[in-house]
Amino acid sequence: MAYSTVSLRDYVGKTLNKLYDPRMYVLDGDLSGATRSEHFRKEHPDHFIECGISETSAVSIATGLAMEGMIPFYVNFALFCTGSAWTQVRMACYAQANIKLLSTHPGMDNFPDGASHHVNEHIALLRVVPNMRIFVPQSPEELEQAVAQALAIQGPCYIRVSRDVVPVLEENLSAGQPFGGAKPIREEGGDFAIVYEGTALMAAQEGFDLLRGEGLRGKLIQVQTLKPFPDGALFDLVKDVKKIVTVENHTVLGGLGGAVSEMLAAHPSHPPLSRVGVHDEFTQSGPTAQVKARYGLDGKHVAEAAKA
Amino acid sequence: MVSADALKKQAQINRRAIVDMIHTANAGHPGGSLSVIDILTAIYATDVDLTAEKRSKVVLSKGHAVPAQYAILHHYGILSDDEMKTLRRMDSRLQGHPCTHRLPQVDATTGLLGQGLSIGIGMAIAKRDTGDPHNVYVICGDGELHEGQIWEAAGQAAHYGLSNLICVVDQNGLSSSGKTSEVMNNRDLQAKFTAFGWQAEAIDGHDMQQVLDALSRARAWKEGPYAIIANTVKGKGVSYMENNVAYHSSGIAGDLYDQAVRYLSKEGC
Repeated sequence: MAYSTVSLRDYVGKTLNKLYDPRMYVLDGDLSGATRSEHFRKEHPDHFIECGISETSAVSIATGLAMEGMIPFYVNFALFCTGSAWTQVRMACYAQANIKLLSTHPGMDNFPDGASHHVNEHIALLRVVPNMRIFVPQSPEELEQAVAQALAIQGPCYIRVSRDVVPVLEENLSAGQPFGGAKPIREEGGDFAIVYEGTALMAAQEGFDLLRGEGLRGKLIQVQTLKPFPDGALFDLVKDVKKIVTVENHTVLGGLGGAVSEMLAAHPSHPPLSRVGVHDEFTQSGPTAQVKARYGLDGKHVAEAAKA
Repeated sequence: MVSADALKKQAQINRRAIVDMIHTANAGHPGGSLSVIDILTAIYATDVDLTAEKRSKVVLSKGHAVPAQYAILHHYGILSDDEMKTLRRMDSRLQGHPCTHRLPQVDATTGLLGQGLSIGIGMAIAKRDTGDPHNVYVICGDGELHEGQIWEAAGQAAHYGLSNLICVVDQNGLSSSGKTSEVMNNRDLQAKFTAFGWQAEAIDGHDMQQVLDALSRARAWKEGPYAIIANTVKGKGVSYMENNVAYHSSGIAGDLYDQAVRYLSKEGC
């Protein structure tokens, strides 16, 4: 099936502009062109803080702004919002500081740059920190909803969006329901359930279509909130299928696959689970599709996992 | 106008509170709390009105010296005599390092060294942009200045020209395991801050008049951030702790507590 596609990073600055509040600040790490926070800089130069290539300090500056009642958004690549400044993020969470991290280039989305920039660990890094919330939108509309929610929440939030393209689904446009939790995109049968996070939508969707083409009927479920994790709602959606497959632009350790494993383990019986994503290895440079296919994130891997 | 003599006496009372707290808790960081207390006493007395909604803020970046901050909050009536006995106890607001969601008056949650100057930058930008005329004080240790984030922040503060930001370095010359100069030599901190674009001066951090004068100059400086390198003595005020690295992190038990009390009493408290 052919889809039009979108890269959510193109909506980062525009969405922040649309939801502008005088308390908002955007902090950058010399990457406003790549993250598209430049759109915010152009409209609100007085509330845009260029921090230079200083990720640790940028996160702590955001904490200081928050302590004075401001709502800072630190916008940077996923690695630079998380691993590069993890102890600063952790202290912000301990302080219950009202900071927002908004990242682009998650997982293998920074494909040509190679393993140094492929941050396949960042969900795991932030999932374990108390007080953090993690949102993964998959469309411009969802991004707007996620930012609006982050603005309404008093406390640290992390929003991660794709730099690579993701399909534009009709379901996205007609959603009309609040953002968050586990959202069934397709519910056609019980042969399998593909559970994915928004930046892995392409592989999940392709896998679903391949399986459908083979006559299998299953569910496609987006997890919009990785923390707090929607254990109850997701379990109800997957408990009766023959096979569960998680799909994530991330290592299969500690991220979505990890969270689903933890959820399932609390139940005396549940369907078997296969986790699609990067399997505990460093990646390499290359064209997007080739990198993701090599390291496990494409429709073929998803379909095979569903049948395994 | 607060006199240097009055503040000196107040600092001695605060020293006694520090020693009492760490004795009761049987744990804490007496050396760095005693070295920074003259500076903190002066900052709060001259520019921090804890009863005001909008006020100057103090980020204790060397958060392990928090008994000094608690002693001051006690002096201003934020903490009761009874609560002062709960340092590091379960469910106390007096955590081992400053924690704003338990005790907002400590102004910033710190403890991991190197982060406070950046937090101060964020506060200073917010104050500048909202027309709040108050200042932000960040208190660092000299050992803390090994942290790379401090120098990221030093560059940023000067780049943004934050004249409402004052960094005081409590240069007591000792870090956790020995002389700061031997652990990792900071060399000339005044020259380093100057090179980063700050106005900087060095003073005797136990000479109350020098402290007051330096703070006045720092507040009056409107061309960017201001650094005061305060040369201090770790453990100042308790003879056997002075310049003794063993009292970086330590309880104060038994006879040593009695000695400390006697020594501080002789000094006029």
